[in-house]
Amino acid sequence: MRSAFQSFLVGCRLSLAYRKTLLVLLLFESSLLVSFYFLWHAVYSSAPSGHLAGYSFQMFFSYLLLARFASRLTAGTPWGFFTRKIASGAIVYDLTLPVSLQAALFWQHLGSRLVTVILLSPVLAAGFVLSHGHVAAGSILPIFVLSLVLAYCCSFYFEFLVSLVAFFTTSLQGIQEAKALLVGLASGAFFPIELLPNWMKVVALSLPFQTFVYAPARMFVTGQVEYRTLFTQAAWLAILAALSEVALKRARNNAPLLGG
Amino acid sequence: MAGVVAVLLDQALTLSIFAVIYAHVSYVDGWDFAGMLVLFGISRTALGVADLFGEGLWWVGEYAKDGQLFIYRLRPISVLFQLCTERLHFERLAGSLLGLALVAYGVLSSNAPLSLADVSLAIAYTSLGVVFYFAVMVFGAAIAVASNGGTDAITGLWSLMEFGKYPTSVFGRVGTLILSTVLPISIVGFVPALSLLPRTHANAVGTWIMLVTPLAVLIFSLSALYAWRIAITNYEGTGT
Repeated sequence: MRSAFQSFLVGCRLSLAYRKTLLVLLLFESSLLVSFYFLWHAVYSSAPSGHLAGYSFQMFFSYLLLARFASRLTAGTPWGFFTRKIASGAIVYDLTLPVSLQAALFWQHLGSRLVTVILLSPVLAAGFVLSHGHVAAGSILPIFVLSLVLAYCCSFYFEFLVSLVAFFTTSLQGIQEAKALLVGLASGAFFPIELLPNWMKVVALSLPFQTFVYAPARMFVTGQVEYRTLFTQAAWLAILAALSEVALKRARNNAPLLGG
Repeated sequence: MAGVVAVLLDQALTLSIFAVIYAHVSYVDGWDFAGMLVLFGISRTALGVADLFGEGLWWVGEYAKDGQLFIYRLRPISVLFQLCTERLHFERLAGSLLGLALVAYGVLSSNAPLSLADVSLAIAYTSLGVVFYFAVMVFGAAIAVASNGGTDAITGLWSLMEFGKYPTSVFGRVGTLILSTVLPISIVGFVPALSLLPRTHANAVGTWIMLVTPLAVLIFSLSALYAWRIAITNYEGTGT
């Protein structure tokens, strides 16, 4: 438990050490939200019924704000956890840690993500107030938090799994970019999955990415407690955690130890 | 190859958002899907050309941080010229090619009557779009050098380019005014697209935008060069 707390603190400190990066992130998210506000406002003005796939503009924008929050909480790293360490040879320190590698990274990444979303919260809250955001019943809050926790866990194990690819190839840019695109589209980070065409909706709902953003954000906006959604998140968590455990064992046997 | 894939995947995300929007509505602020493709295609074309030379400027902050920039200053050639020509990023032209394909598809789909003058005007505006993108990179690089601040300054400034992907008119009158004069982002896609699409678009926003924006781009670009000059003159290295 102590090592988990220490790893968590390391994550927080690392995130706070790069304050300018956090400011850039705030500027980026603000620009994205302002541009999306006007863009989707124009889209809704053209919609004959004023609703798109059951979402009014207020609901849509509230969804978007929550989706950005969840998206930042569950965001991965641009190059994965191990790429640079493998290139420099520092991976040997990770592989010989006296604690579980997954657990250490889990808590460290959580610390880093929490600092980011806490700093982002005022921007999102301002967006919520200025856009007269749609507020669901307060009773949904504990379930929403539980769904967010599951979302973070699912996303972490997925990120861990993709990061392990670095043990097998150095050509990672294409893989990481493809991952970012797939997660961006299929997680619901930019719009609710209901807006996708039917066949894409079916595909997106059968992938794990919807558990990262769409599941918690939708639950909060609709105000409906959906135990089925929580069960789906838990099921994906079990699958991804098991897969990453197996993949880590294989990666350890394949670790390229460079540097010296 | 990976660089080309990265450029194309970046465009795929925005195109997917457009596809989702137009699956539900036929027009956004009077712009149909074809018009939106023309606008987005032009902005990507201009960005690809600007990136060909300007990609190296993203790392200026890092060079300033570790003192490497001082070596550039000692050489008897302009630092900006060295940074821009040190390595040409041809992979970025993949974005321009896809952009041109989108423009061609959009223009053909919109059935707008085009004259040689319209096309020439669009090319001239797109060239100014390249100048503007480049000026933003130079301005970001100047801030990065002045603050020894890594890539954060240029990345932060670049995040404002999000506004260039959509018709400026959706941001309202005040937004249009700001994006055409103070920070003339509308030059990267919106203004050139107006000259290729039916006149109704230009009439809706007012033809003043096509006259004022190029002027604003020139002022912005000169300001960026001035800022760069001040930053590079005052750079003292790191002592390492």
